[in-house]
Amino acid sequence: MGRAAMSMMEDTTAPRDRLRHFTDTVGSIVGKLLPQNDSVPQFVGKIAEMAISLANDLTVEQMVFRSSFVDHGTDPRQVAVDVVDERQVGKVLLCTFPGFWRLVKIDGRIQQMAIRRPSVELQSAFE
Amino acid sequence: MQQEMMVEESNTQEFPINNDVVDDPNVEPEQASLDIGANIARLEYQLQGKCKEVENLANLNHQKESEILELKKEAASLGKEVLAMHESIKAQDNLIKEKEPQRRALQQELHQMKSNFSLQRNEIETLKARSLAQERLLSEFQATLDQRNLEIACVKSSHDGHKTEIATLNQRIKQSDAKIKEQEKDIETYKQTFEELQNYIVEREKQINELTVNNDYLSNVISETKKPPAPNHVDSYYLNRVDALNHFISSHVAEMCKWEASRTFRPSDAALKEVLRLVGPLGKRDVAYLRTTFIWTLNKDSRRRIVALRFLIGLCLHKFIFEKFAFGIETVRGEILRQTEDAILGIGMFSV
Repeated sequence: MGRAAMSMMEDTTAPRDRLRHFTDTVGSIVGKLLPQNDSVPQFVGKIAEMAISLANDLTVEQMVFRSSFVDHGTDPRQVAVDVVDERQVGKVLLCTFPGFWRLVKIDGRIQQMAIRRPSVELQSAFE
Repeated sequence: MQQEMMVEESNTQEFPINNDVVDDPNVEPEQASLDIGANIARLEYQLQGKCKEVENLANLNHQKESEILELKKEAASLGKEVLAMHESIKAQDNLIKEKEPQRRALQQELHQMKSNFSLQRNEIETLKARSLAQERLLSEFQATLDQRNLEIACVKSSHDGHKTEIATLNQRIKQSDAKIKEQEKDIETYKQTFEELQNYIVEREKQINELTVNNDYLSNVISETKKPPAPNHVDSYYLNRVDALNHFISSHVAEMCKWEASRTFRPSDAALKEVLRLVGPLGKRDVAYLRTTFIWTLNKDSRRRIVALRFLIGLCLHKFIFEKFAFGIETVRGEILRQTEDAILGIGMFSV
């Protein structure tokens, strides 16, 4: 299905349009929060290249994958998250990188197996 | 009444009498006789007054007596009237008694008429309901009739059409008869060819059967040698790539925030509002938190800016690239394919 979807989009401009939208948005955000620098477009382009290549591979994979992003205020004990600094406590302040999961059916139930848990910063980090 | 008033007034106008002069022993005799004369005059005057009073009272008495007589006459006439009324009442009572059976009969009749009336009203209601039902039936019947008329009209028109069609068909039959005769000749020729072809087909069928057997055999061989679907890559391959992407972003963001220019750089309020506008539709709760507090404190230290940048880039990655079924696919199609994928997953493929 993934291969079919990708081959269906080969002759369209949709992926290029979406890529341009992504790079424009991220480039604009980085450009607003940091001083002007020539390396920003290159940085954004590299992120897009790596991410889209990964997404395409996940799309054509024989397994089913899902990406997740944790909302602000979520209790980290109720969802699987990766807190890099173990000293941090409290609820989720911000999610800094999405999580990736492989879906499998085990004993008749669909379950998520973590490829990588979402990275988060907890509230105590900036108190 | 006026006379009575006059009597009372005359009684009150008493002439004054000098009794002290008469009884006093020190008074002279001449003087005393004069006083007695005056007293007599006074008494006479009083007497005259009293006489007038008596006359008045007599007149009043006479008047009263005449009034009493009139009243007695009136009472007598009223007594007669009362008697007449009593008699009239008795007569009416008798009349009422006489009329009582008639009244009862009329009352019974009225009651009977009332019950008859209610029965008739019920009958009318029933008749009304029947009438409505019949009206409905009539309208339905009318609709059916209209439909039938329409059908009849259609049939009539088609009947006319059929007539012309039959004429055309007759012509064609004639033509076909001629053709049949020609074709019968051809059939004779074809029969000969057919026998030849039949033999050829029998031979080909034998060949096809042999090839089918071979094909089944080859299919079995292929199915036995075909590998079952397996992942293109193991999980660790994707883990490495995800980590590489995360590491690339985090290291470069940290590096950019440590630039000399970044240390003194302060994003303007307008720039921060523009950032909030760009990511507003992507994550409402997170962006609400950024809007209320976090984004306005980015200048406190570089770590805040690093976290904010990583969050914003991660949010865009998730929403623009990873959340979709395939990168660049339309949202609706992506949703349909994702549902299909979930259904396949539910069936049991990708089971462990």
